[in-house]
Amino acid sequence: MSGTTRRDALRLLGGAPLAVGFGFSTASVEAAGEHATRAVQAAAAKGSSYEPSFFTAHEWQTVRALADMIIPRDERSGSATDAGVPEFIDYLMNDPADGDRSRENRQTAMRGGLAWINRECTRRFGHDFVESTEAERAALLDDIAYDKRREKDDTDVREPRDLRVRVAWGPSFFNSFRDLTAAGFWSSKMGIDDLGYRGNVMVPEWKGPPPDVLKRLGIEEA
Amino acid sequence: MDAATPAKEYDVCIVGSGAGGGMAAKVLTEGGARVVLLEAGAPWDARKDGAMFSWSYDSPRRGAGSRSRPFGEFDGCIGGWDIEGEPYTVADGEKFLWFRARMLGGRTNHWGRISLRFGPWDFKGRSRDGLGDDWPIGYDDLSPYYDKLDEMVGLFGSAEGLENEPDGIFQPPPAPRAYERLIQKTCRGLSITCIPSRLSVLTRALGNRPACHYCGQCGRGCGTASNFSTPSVLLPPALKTGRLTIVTGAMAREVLTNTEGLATGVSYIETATGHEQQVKAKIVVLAASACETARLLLNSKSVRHPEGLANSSGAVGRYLTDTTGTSVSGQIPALEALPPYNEDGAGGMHVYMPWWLDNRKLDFPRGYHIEPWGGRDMPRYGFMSGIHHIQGGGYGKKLKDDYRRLYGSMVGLSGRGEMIPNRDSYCELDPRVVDRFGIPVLRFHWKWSEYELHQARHMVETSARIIDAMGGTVMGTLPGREQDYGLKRGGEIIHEAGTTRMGTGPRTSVLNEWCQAHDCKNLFVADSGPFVSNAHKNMTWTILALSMRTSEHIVDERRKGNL
Repeated sequence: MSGTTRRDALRLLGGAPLAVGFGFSTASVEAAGEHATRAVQAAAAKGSSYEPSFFTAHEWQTVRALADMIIPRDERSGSATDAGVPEFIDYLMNDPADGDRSRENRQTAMRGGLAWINRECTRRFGHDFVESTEAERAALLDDIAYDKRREKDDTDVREPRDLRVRVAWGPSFFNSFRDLTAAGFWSSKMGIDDLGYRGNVMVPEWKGPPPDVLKRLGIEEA
Repeated sequence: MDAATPAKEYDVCIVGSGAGGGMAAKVLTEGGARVVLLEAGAPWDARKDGAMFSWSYDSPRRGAGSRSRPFGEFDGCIGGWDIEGEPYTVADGEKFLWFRARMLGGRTNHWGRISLRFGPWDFKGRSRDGLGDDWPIGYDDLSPYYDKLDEMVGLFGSAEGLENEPDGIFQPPPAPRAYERLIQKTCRGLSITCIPSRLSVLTRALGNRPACHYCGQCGRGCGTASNFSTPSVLLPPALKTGRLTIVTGAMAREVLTNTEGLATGVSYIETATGHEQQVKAKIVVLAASACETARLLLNSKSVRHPEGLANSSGAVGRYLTDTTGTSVSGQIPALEALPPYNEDGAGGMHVYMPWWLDNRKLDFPRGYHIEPWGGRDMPRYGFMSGIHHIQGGGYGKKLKDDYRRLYGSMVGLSGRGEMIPNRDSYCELDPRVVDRFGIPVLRFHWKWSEYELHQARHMVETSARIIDAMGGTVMGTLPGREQDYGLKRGGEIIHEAGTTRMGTGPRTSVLNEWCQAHDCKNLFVADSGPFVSNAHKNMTWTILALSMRTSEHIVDERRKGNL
């Protein structure tokens, strides 16, 4: 890219006429993202002032606990609730951009899945998921969170061996809930930073992968 | 946008503002014609209206698709498979999907900017293998227009000298991404041709359009007009002539004709009010998309054209084809946990595999190409969905680390092949259903033949072989006969063509070699309806070149006083 061209592109990207169209510069977007993260953290510290639009108070507690079991805080980033995942899921349950039927299907699957979790906890432990101990919660998830098809001795059965008839819905709900939790977490600013996504920026000159990446792949520089 | 002046007679009325309509508007206005362009959708300018540089977390939906933007809420194309108030029907037990855009620029706001010329074989398929029909024109007739198009719109690529993949006038291609380098290396080992892709994305400035800044977001609409869409490249010069009137929110209902059977204008519905308007024109150019144009002709019945306008052959709506499509993805351990780098690049693949085999030695007659995808995209809604299929699921710290390790290690290979037109695949008017404007809608009929099924099997098996040779694991079970070898549904690749095909004889074709109706000399078609065959090469570049040729012919004929 020549100097003139780059200047033109910079003017086009950063200049007043287009900034109106985009609504924000890269810097302001980053600021907004940090603001959102801080707001979520502040709300969490105060004991969550967020009012869910779809979930009942009890479901909300279950969703928060499940999400944090799926993506816990570690040395590199925060947990699912730190990143606002429950709020993201709550939004999707009433997403105005969905058609009525798909919204209803989504809501039924979520509400029913959470109810199934609670009933299964009650059957096993005598109380629901929120009231379960960490060990009890883990025992349930260990039964529904793993794709058993990958185990050589049990290739054609998706459900845990001991619950083969009863928990057919468990793994299916959990797989969807895991996918939703991951989508919410990794598409947040916290998640995107954690993954080391370096894009969504203007690249004046595209050079392709750096030498250390190619070296790792065993590709000599062309 | 302007309102059409009812009393005024325009030189030309164009229906549709996509690739074909946009090119016609540019060439005709620059050739001196006063043109009115009807577009069913709303105004749109990617430079103002696009979502370029938005982050997933700028929206509470994180980029999830919606009814009017099924490819994601930041997508630059408004319309979709299911438009409110504008149904279409499919014959019992058959499957077809119809993607329509409703916006200025039409589906030039959607496409992957893959800009491939049809080659010499593609125009003469019947002469080579006895199937389908030859075009009334050959590659040599269209190549000067492809050349002019390359210089006007710009694309990158590499000169390869492949007989049926003609080289264009290319800007330099961008370097392949890491996973694309691995694919290239693997393909070399398998003797599969893998070359730089050919996309209409500028890698050098062209006129007042700067070069690409490699944000990978062509699909959202480019804020710098560095890629091609009609509103950012073709309509501005047309408007500059002062001879173009654009009417948006105008849903064409019928082409009007006089007692001699000649076109006199177009009747359209103002979508905002539901009122019917008429615009008069000496010449009508239909570029509403292959199927919308067929629908419009079939809905334009008169004493002189009892079966619909330009349909004395009965060929309108027939010979409908789409590109065949399959998709196989895999997880590649070699790509796990690579050092982070910005892998966005141009919006789409930097390399692809053009057809590399000889069909005479295979059990299917026509070729396909493979489009690879993968890499470290911006995480958004749907991120690594179905991870349990890859690593077994789970939860907690190990799962979190698995996402980190697997991010960027997925590769997909999409096969895109040529379908042979068949008598069971066509569209017609549904005798019972109308849209919200009261216009009769299309009913689709669709069947794949053994040719496409054999081709699809070859696509998925080859794709699996490439993933295997990369040391990867194919996701899921490779589809077999019962799953049509993974063949996508008709219409799903969004390359409908052939419904108003060209030909030498008025008994078997709708249009002559100039895309002019045999039955109505002041009526032309400038979308993919005129295609006699649908090569596996993404059709936009050929729509544009053909529309340019048709439009220059109209300019010439007007000068000679023939129209």
